[in-house]
Amino acid sequence: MTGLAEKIQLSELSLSFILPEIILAIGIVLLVFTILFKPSTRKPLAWTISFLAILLSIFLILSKLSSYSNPIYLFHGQLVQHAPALLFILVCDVAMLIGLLISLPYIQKDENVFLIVLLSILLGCHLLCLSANWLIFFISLELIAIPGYLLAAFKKEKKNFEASIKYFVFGSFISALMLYGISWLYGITGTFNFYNAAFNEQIQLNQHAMLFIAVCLLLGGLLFKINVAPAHAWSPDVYEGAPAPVVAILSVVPKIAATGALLFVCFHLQTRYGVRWSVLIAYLSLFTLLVGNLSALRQKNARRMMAYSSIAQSGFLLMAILNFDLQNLPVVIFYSIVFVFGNYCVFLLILHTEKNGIEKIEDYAGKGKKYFWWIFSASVGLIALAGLPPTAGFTGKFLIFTQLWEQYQVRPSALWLNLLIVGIINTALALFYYIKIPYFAFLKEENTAVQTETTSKKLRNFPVLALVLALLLISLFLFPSMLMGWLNNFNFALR
Amino acid sequence: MELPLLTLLILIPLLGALLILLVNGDTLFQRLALAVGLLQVLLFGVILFKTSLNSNTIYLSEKVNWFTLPLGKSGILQTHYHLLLDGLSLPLIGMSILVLLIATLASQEITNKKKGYFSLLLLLNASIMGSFMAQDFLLFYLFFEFMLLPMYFLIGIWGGKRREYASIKFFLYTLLGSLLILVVLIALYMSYGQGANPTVYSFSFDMAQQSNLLQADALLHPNNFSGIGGLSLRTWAFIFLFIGFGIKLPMFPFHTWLPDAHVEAPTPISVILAAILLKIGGYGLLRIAYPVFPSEALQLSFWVGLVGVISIVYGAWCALASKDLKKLIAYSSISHMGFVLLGLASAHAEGIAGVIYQMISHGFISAMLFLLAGVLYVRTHDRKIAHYSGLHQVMPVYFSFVLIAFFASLGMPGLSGFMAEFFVLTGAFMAGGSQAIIPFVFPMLALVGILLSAGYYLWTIQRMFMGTFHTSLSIEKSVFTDLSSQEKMMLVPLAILVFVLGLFPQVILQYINPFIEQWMSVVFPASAIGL
Repeated sequence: MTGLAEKIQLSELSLSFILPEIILAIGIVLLVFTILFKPSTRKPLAWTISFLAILLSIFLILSKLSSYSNPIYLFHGQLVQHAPALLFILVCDVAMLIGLLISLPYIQKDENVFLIVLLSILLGCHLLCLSANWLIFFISLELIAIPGYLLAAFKKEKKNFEASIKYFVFGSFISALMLYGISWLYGITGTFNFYNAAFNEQIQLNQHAMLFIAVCLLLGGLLFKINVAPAHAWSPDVYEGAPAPVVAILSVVPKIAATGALLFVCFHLQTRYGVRWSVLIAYLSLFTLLVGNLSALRQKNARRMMAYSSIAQSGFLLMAILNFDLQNLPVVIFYSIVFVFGNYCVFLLILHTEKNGIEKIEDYAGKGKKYFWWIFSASVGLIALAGLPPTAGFTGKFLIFTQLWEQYQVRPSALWLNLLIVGIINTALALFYYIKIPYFAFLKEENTAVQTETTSKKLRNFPVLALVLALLLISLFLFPSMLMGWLNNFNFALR
Repeated sequence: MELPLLTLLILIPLLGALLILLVNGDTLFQRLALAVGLLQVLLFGVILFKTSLNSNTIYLSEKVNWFTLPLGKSGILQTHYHLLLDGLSLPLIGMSILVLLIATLASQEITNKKKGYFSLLLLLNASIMGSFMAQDFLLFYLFFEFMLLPMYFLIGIWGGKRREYASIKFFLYTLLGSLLILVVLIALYMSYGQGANPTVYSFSFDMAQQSNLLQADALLHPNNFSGIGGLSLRTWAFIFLFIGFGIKLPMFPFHTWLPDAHVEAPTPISVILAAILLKIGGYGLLRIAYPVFPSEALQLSFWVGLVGVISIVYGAWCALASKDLKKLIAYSSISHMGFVLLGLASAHAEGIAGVIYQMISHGFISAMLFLLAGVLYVRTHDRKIAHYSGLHQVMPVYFSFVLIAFFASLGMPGLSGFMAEFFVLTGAFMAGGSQAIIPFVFPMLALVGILLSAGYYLWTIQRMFMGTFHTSLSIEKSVFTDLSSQEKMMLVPLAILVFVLGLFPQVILQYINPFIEQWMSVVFPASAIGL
């Protein structure tokens, strides 16, 4: 046993390793003060603070990634830092950074609170990926969830309240179930620390129905965050109600962190002869793909369509982590990055056109000329999301399918083949709605009955950011080694 | 330093597309596109000259590594940028370059959004070149898949009244096909590799013959007897490829996108669609499906032949009932592409030669047919057969070109269509004889199809061109002007080629014969077909 003084010393040592998280926390505090005391310069200052905090965090994580590669246990094993977690965190940070860049022209004066909320969510994502203890795990998940409830109700309209209450009730119910599951798991394994070797041993020894129920309860919370069917019903309403830039961010950042966490948790739950959790994940992925794509087909509102599209994309993310093999991590990260870029390309268009009163997909009819570059870059994003060449979306899907085939080759179970075929059919299905926006914009004639208001404010007609993202999507297709080569430098050991 | 000629064939249209996007000037776009086409013709001339000095069956080849991706624990995926020109791709590339140039000329009728049109046309050009030359399966797939997007917009934006419906139908059918191909692509990529720890997986079409590269634990290994639904996985893979490329061909019952796409597409796009894009289906079967899965292909010969014969007869039957001139030509395309399947099913050198010959000859004939349909449409904006009669009185030159095209298509001896169908039928009758690879009745039915095609063409000539001039449209007689010099410029080279190919088959056979010899020795060696 170590004494108290040594413990404190260890904790102090650990503090230096979680600098990015500390910076984010300081950023949140600073934001609160700025918004309270400097009302006149609120928007630019608050935005700059959050931007700098995230930028700093990215630099710190990059330097960490380059300096060491073995897992490091912090605070007596409450947190653990390893390359896979850092990579997921990095993607979240980059996604948030781009999200902030996107939101700059769109955040209203009174919407500064968003920045606080967003930083809290990002902090939650960081901790979720790092956590090695069920309680920290739970708290970080709540740190992501609670700001979400706020966001959903932010517009203070009846519709938003309804969305928020829906989200809140659903979310708290799932949180409670998850806590219950954790307590069962504690009862079974006798430890809160799931990186502990004892945890895995106990799981191995206790393969019975109780464990199965406990794990299902536990995974429920994560799957809720990743938007996996049947826990997806909240998202379209929230997406419709919340301010658009926030939706753009919410649809990617928490999802990627939760995917990472799911991978880490399942990796520890999996035992050689026990329940094969990948089968459960496979069925969920299958179900999510179908629900997401089939619902997206019927959507008329661009945002709701993107909400369901992001549900379908979750299905592919699940497919990518399916075998819990950390050697396949580059594929997950690659796919996440493509997903982030593609999603932002589309949301940039939605943001830009919503200002001019275009919300429904039909309203894009004949707008191809007016917003050519916006719709062009959004189309690249949509093609990437659908997974067609010449975008990195194809490379991502190709890698996922290759991985599935490999799994089928190793263990010829019809499930993998079915999943592969369903995945491929869904690619075709998804194209039905992904092609809708370019279809209306370029192929349909403008409906003159619907007069869209052009705001008097001068609008940028050249979407620099969206074009950069589109270009990245194409260059990642031509030279995937750019990213994959870098990703393969790391040591993907969790323990 | 040696010029990478094959890469240039792809690069020139890409650069042209970029240039069109950058410059302004309404008349400039078409000239740029024409310049690209002429440069390609020039390049092709250089390539032909080079190949005449080369006695190999592979004339030109360019290969560099493209990208490497580690695949989890078991291996590395290695893809290549590998282009190749052999006896199969050379005539197809030549045909494509010529037809694309003519289609660019025919694009005179496009009046709106020229910038977008010509840049998409050049993108399509580049991906066609790539598809016919790519030797790495992934590279091929990328070019193949990328053809979809420009084509979708070309039909969807510049098409006729129901263009939206037609373009989305085209898109989804072809996408479904290419997804089936994707499954096989992944399976093949994971089956062929070199070395161990880590295994380097890759798949080029020339690897199909190197059975030592087929990994022993691969699911597509012939010794793997696990299967689904009573068929081995290899058989399934062949079926997937067959349907995937068959949709593009198109074959019955996946043909319904074609008449819609053709009727709605503008003339130059119809020309490209019929003359080139359909051939990629046949090319894929010849290049991929058969060499990789020869024994499965032989087992399923009956079904391949059956689908082919149904396409021949059913396509001709529908053409007979078509009221729209373009639809008639579209259905006749389906019918003629059925010969490609019948030739493949025959598993005889004569049949295979017929397949390649049919692809080239139909490329020229269908280009001509669609150009001729376009000539009428530009003048009257109507293509209903019943609305015209006695056209030969007002448009005699037009009529003579129609005669050449129709007779070439219905298989008149001395014209290219006859040669192709003659080869295919010879192969099919041989296969239907003592070896009974396909039933004897298949080539007989194909003959009925030819008879029907003579029926619909002659009937069309009788309805539209014979008799005294009359039109039920309320337009002036002066609208029916004869061919302009520009239209003649497009039609004359095609007509000459139709004659040349019909009278001097050696022009093409000198390229395809060595290829077929080598192909047959690999895919259907004498022992396999019981000779």
